[in-house]
Parts: sequence; C-alpha cells; structure tokens
Amino acid sequence: MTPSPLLQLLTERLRDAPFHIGQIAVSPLTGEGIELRHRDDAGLAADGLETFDRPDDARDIAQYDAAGEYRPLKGSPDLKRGWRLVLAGPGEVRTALDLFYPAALALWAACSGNRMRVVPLARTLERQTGMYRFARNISPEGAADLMRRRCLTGCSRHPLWAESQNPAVPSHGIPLLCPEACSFFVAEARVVAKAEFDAKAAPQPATGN
Amino acid sequence: MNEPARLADSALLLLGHGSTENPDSSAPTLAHAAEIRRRGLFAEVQCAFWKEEPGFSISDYLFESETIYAVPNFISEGYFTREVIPRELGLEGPTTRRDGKTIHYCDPVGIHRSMTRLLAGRARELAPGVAPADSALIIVGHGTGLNAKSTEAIRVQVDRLEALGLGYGQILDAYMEEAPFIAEWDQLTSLPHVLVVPFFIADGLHSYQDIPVLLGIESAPTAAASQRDVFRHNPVPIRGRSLWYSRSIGTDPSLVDVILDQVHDFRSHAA
Ligand code: SF4
Repeated sequence: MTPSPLLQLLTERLRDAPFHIGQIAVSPLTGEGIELRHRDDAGLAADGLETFDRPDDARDIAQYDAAGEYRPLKGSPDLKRGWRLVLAGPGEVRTALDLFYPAALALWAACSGNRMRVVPLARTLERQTGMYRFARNISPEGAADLMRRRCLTGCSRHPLWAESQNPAVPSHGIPLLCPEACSFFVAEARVVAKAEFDAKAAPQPATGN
Repeated sequence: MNEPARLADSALLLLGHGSTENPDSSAPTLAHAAEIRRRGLFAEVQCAFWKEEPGFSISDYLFESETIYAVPNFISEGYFTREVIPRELGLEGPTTRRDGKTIHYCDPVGIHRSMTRLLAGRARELAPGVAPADSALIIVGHGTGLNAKSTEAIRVQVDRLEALGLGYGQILDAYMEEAPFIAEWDQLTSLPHVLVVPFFIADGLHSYQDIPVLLGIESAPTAAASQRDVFRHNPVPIRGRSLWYSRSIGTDPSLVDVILDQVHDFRSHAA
C-alpha cells in the first residue's frame, strides 16, 4: 500500500512542532511522544491537567463544553480546558485531530495540494430541499450578518466560501478551513429567512396622514 | 465478508444522520466505524453526517483511496437515502466516477436481510431463560405517512422473523404514531412475557423517552442523566405481564456485520 500523503504531510508538520490547530497546542515531548492540550493551558504544569493517552479519548474531551453542554459543531470556540492527551506518533495524532476537528486535516491536505473546491453560499442554499428549501430566500445582508455571527465569532474555522470575506489563512500551524457553508449555517439561514419573511408580511404600522 | 483482501485498497464511508441535540445519535455510527477500522478490512474508514461534522458534502476530501463504498447507516430507504445523500455527495447512480475516484453507493443497513438475524439475536439476549412460546416479540417503529418506508421495513422484518421459526408465541409490529399502537401493547397480545425492540439506528428521544412513556414504564420524560437507566430494569412487571425493553437495534455491535454485508452484496451484484 502507498503511504498516506496526508500522514506524510502531518509527519513533516510534527517535526516542526510545536504548533497550533484551532484551540489546540501540539508539542513534541522530551524523549518520546506528542502532547495535545488546550492552547490556553500552555503555561500550566502537566500534573495540574488530567492526562489521557488514547486517541479516541479526543471524542470525550470534545463532546461537551466546560458547562456540560453538547458541542455538535466541533469548530465552536469553546473547547474545554484542563486536559492533556499524550500520543505515540503521527497516526494517533491524526485519529485524535479527526475527532477534535473532523475533516480539518483532510481539508488542509487538499488545500496544500490545490484540490480545494470552494462552494459559494448561493449554490449550497439552492440545492437544499424539504424544510431547508426556504433558506435560499435569505437576503444578502442577512447572510453576511449571520456569517459574522456564526462563522467569525462562533466558529474556529475560516469560511473560505464567504466571497466578500478574504480570510487570512494562517501560514503557521494547521489552519481550520471551511470550503462550504455547513448544515448549522444552513439551518440558521432558514430561521433568518423566515424571520425576514415574517417581518415583511407583518402589517406596517400606520404612518399617519 | 468472504473476500476482505480485495477490499484492502478501498475505503468505507458510513453516512449517519447525527443530531445537534443528542450526542448518542452519532455514537453507534462512530463505534461501528471504529470496530471496522480495528479489523483492518479497508484502507480507510470514515463517517460523515447530515447534522454533525464532517458534513456529507465534504466527504470527498476524507479519502485517499480511489474506490469508496458509501453505506447509509439508516434504518430504511427514504428521503435521506434517495434524495439528501445522493444530492450532497453528487452521486449519479449506484456507481459514480469523478476526479479519479469511484464511489459505490450501497443500500441502507436497515433493509439488509441480515437485520433479521440481528433482531433474533437481540430478542434472545434480552430475555434469557424465558420460554419463547410464552413470549410476544414486538418490533416497534415510528409510523405515520412521513416515513412509510420505515413501516414497510418493519413489516418485512416481522415476516422474516416468523419464517425463521424461532418459537415465539407471537411476533408483531407496532408503532408510536399509527395502528397497531405500541401504547396498546397489552391488548395486542395476551402472553405473559412481552419483548420490545425499537427499530431505530440510534438511541434518542424515541427510545429513551417516548416509547417508555407509551409502554407505561415511565410516567414523564426522564432527565438526561438517567436516559440509559430505562434499559436497566428488565423485566418490568406492568399491566399483569413481564415487559422486557431493549435498546435500539442499531446500537447492537453486530450491526458491523450488516454494514459489511451491504458492501459485500453491492460487490456481488456488480460482479
Ligand atoms: S459554515 Fe461557518 S459555522 Fe459552519 S463550519 Fe464553516 S465557518 Fe464554521
């Protein structure tokens, strides 16, 4: 079997560690192993953090925020602190990062290899059916506002699809790239489109004579 | 699976619904993927979800292999398997070739013949030591016109379970929102033991709360922390019978074999 290009890319990147991916700091340990922890915990002593050592532990760490709320959108910038994940090599790091930030490594590899296809928002919304069909009626202002709220403040990924936006993809670390509006965005676009529709349909208050 | 060696250069993509509310929705799909990965049958195993990440539409990026078998981890044919998945994955039929990749789109797990074997096994484990002749086995689904295909899938399973000659006093289908109603389980059978298996792909609101309330084993929706407790009280003495309540069939670890069977069937049909 041919060696995985993604794993090769990650292995090279790990040689230059430490680096950041989203809210995670990745650093080589003296001796052997690679450590992942929350970047805000960077200065803390290891024995003050709860230590995990299986790549699959990443799913449990990423599942709930500090307040115990479920995190369905893994790009949400509320990854909890207080843990460190000690892994044996690039293969384990890949498994863990796939759980922390699904598809992030694959999208990074695609971007590095010029294989990324950015899908404009209009195309994503036009192909929706069923209850999400209405999302296509969102106004350009409504979409821009939602993008700022949902993507720029509510998500660690860079929305490459937002045309007016020219996201500065960081040259260090591993960037979190978003080539196409996600299902969270589409669901919220539908809510905004409905609210816009209702506001227009509501009887206008009399403007006097 | 008879010929795993020939799959070793291919990838498996498991497609699940997922949920923005309930982490247990995607848990079985991820667990089945982890087990298949552990068995080393495929070069790569990945999941994609409608309501979680990674989304269906970016699943192309996940693979380095040229051949990808996509298996919907859904309980029946319907809106998702016929419309949403093909659209989001850009599929053109059972086999799609583009950008040097070949995507084979398999049938959803829930309609495979081997689901019957899984249901039979689940029923046996649920009430060990109880004589099948004294037991009614009820396979429960959602019902209503919205999901006509899932009702049909359950009826097919009940017929196949009957054909296996397992010795159960009765084997029935029942639904949350259409007749025969699961709420009337004690009128559907007079046998002393009643075994209830939800025909869903994951545990969630229906199996944790709605069905237990309809069965009468929970009086009000249970708190999130005790959701799994609902399966731990078997048998529940109620309405003069012994009621045995199972987790959703899709959480069974043997579902892994049904997924592999769907890939195998696709390959034999194509051959
Ligand atoms: S569309 Fe926005 S919220 Fe969704 S993953 Fe992309 S950047 Fe994050």
